[in-house]
Formats: sequence, structure tokens, C-alpha cells
Amino acid sequence: MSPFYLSHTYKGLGLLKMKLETKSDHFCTLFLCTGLTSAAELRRTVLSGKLPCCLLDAGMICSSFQVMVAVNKAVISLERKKLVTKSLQTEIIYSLSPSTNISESLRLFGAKDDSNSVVAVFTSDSSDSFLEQEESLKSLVKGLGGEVLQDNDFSKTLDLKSLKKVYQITDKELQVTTLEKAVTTAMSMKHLV
Amino acid sequence: MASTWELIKQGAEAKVYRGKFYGAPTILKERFQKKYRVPSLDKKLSSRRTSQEARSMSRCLKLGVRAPAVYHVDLEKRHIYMEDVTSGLILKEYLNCLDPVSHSDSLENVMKTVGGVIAMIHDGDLIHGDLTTSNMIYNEAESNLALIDFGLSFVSSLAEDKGVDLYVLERALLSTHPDTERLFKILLDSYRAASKNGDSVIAKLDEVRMRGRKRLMVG
Ligand SMILES: Nc1ncnc2c1ncn2[C@@H]1O[C@H](COP(=O)(O)OP(=O)(O)OP(=O)(O)O)[C@@H](O)[C@H]1O
Repeated sequence: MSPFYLSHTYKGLGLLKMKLETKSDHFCTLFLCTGLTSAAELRRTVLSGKLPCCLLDAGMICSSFQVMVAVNKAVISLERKKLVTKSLQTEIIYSLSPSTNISESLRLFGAKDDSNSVVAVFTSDSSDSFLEQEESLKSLVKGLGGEVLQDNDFSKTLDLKSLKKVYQITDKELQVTTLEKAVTTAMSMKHLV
Repeated sequence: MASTWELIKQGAEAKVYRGKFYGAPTILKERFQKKYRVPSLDKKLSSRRTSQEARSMSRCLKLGVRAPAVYHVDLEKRHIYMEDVTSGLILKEYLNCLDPVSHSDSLENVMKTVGGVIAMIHDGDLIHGDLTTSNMIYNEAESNLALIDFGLSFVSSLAEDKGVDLYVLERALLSTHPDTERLFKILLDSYRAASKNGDSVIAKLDEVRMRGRKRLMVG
């Protein structure tokens, strides 16, 4: 799939003549990997630094937009030197969470050793390396009995019940908005004063 | 390739842009910095206001009333990225298109819907603070109404605050549309029927009206 351009919010506001806080452009791409016998090997590879991505538990993801909103937040924190976790990768996981408790957030949204489906998120200041990374992800996932889906159809892997519980989404609000929108709204409430 | 934002409104408190946020049609609202305030105080107050506005949108949705979903809040820049509600007409424009005689059914329907929606947010103690026909988006086909612009909203259980909310709307209607006394009565009947304590709110509305009238006579 084509990488999303982190159309970095602030760039779009050129007409305001705001000083850009972005030191460079950011790109992001994501892949839904399913059918894994275990995600342990994948997690080890990522932790060793050989695959520069973050791994999410696919059950907690309802759309690419949800992930992009989290990546956007995490990159802004990085730029402002306000990461609350130790890396951009973990900050993405933390940004997905409605909770300010870091370890709880990583536990809820990060891939676990026994996850069968994960979402791999790559971010970079250029998209040059994405093709190569996609290839290594694919071969790794294939070796683990899984596949990288082409269409990022999260409905197949979504754990709706857990997602609604974690974000405290009610059926009442789903009568007037979509799941994806209820999720980003809940994500946005985290750092309000 | 960076997305572009079109300025659609330069208000008293904020600039409003329309554009895309990761593909989603989005309204970006940027609250101004107040030049006359001490910067540190301004930062605190406008963070609070921006937070309150976003929180009210969430509260509204949770009460089962349409409002823009929140996509992203940036307190440092006083930005709210929200859903662009495109599924209807600004109520003011919709009303302008209706002929009071030949469209009286449509007019009554929309007034009932508005009354019911306001009752729902008030039952959840959400006060909109700026109920005007510019801040409502009406979808006639589904007869549903979305509220926008929560910039002056707050949470209160007081009948007085709810009464004032209705009073603001009454004044706005009276100034923009003929035959509003009858229409506002339909709206209030619907409000009363849907609301948990409509009677005490409407009693407060009467008080507020009296005060308003006195003020007009004096002023
Ligand atoms: N979420 C939205 N979806 C669609 N249109 C919107 C949305 N938010 C704002 N608008 C449009 O932009 C206009 C101005 O927005 P808004 O009322 O929030 O700004 P404001 O500066 O607070 O206005 P005011 O000065 O009247 O209080 C609205 O009248 C409406 O036409």
C-alpha cells in the first residue's frame, strides 16, 4: 500500500506563517499481519532493532485512521521533545491509549507474544526504506505461518468488545457516530486540562 | 503534497479552516491568542477553553446527540481538528429556503427536532452556550440535527442555565425568521415533552424573558 504522508498538520497551515516545528517530513506505513502462530519471534526481531517498527495488537485497531492519529500525536511529542515514553515506537502505542498509565497502555495496545494478528507501523523521515522493510516483514511473517494482508481490513481482526470497553464507547454514541470517530474522540480526551 | 486548509471563517474567538486530516474531511478551529493578556495566563485560559470545547463535543455524542467527532486536540497551538459535518444544511440556511405557508409541515418538524435535541443535552447537564441557527446542521431526510461550535459550552445542572440557553435561541430565531413566536412554542412543547424537568427550565426561561424585557425598556 502507498505510505501515508504525515501531512504534517503544521505544514498545511503555511498561510498562517507559523514557524514549522517539524525538523523534517515524516512518513508512515502500516501492515496488518494475520495468522501468526505466535508473535514472539516478531517481537524479538523488533526489540533487537532489526525491524524498525512498532507492533500493535490488531484486536484493538479498527482503522488506519485510528493509527494515523496516534502516529501524528507521537511525532508531535517527538518534535517538541515531550516524549513520555522512551522511543517514538512506544510513544505510538501510548498515544493510542485513552489512559495516561504507560505500562497499562503498552499492555493493552502493544502486540503480545501470544497475539495471532498484529499491526506493524513503520515511521521514517523518508519513505525510501519502506519497500525493503516491507519485504523483510513479509518474509518474517511468512516464516511464522502468517500473511501480510493487502487491504488492511481491520474488521477481520478487531476485538470489538474489548475495544469498546477500553475506550468506554457506548451503543448510544454509536447511534450518532461511527466506531472510528468515537475512538479518535476518546483518544483526544487524554491530555485535556 | 502537504494538505491545504481553506480559511472559512474568521470569528471573534477563532479562525476556522476546512481541509483534510489523514484523508478525513476536517474542520480545524484555532483559538486566537489574546494580545492584551499576560502570556502565561493566556496560555492557561485558552488551554482550558479549548479543552472544554473538545470535551463538550464528546459529552454531546455520548448523550446520543450528533456533534462533530474530535480527531485531534493540540493544546499548545489551541487547535481542535474535528469532523466536518457535511450531511445537512446550516439550520439558518435551511429556514431561509422554506416558505412559512407552503412548508409549514417541514417547519414544524424541524422545530420539534431542535426541541428534542436540546432536551437531550440539557438532561445530560450540557449547556451549549451559543444556541443559534448558525450552530445547528439539519438533515431533513433523516430529520436529525447536529450541534456545532461548543466554544461557549459548559456543564451545569441549573435550570437557570438551561433557561438562558433556550432564551439565546429564542432571540436568535426572532431576529432571523418571521412567525417565530408560533414556531418557538412548538419547539418548547417538544422540549417539555422530551425533558426530565422541562417545566422548571421553562419557568426559568419566563423569568429570563422578563428580565430581558425590563432591560430593553430601561436600555
Ligand atoms: N464541524 C463542522 N462541520 C461543518 N461545518 C462547520 C463545523 N464547524 C464549523 N463549521 C462551519 O464554520 C462556521 C464557523 O464555525 P464556529 O461557529 O465553530 O466558529 P466560531 O468562530 O466559534 O463562530 P462564532 O463567532 O459564530 O461563535 C460554522 O457556522 C459552520 O458553517
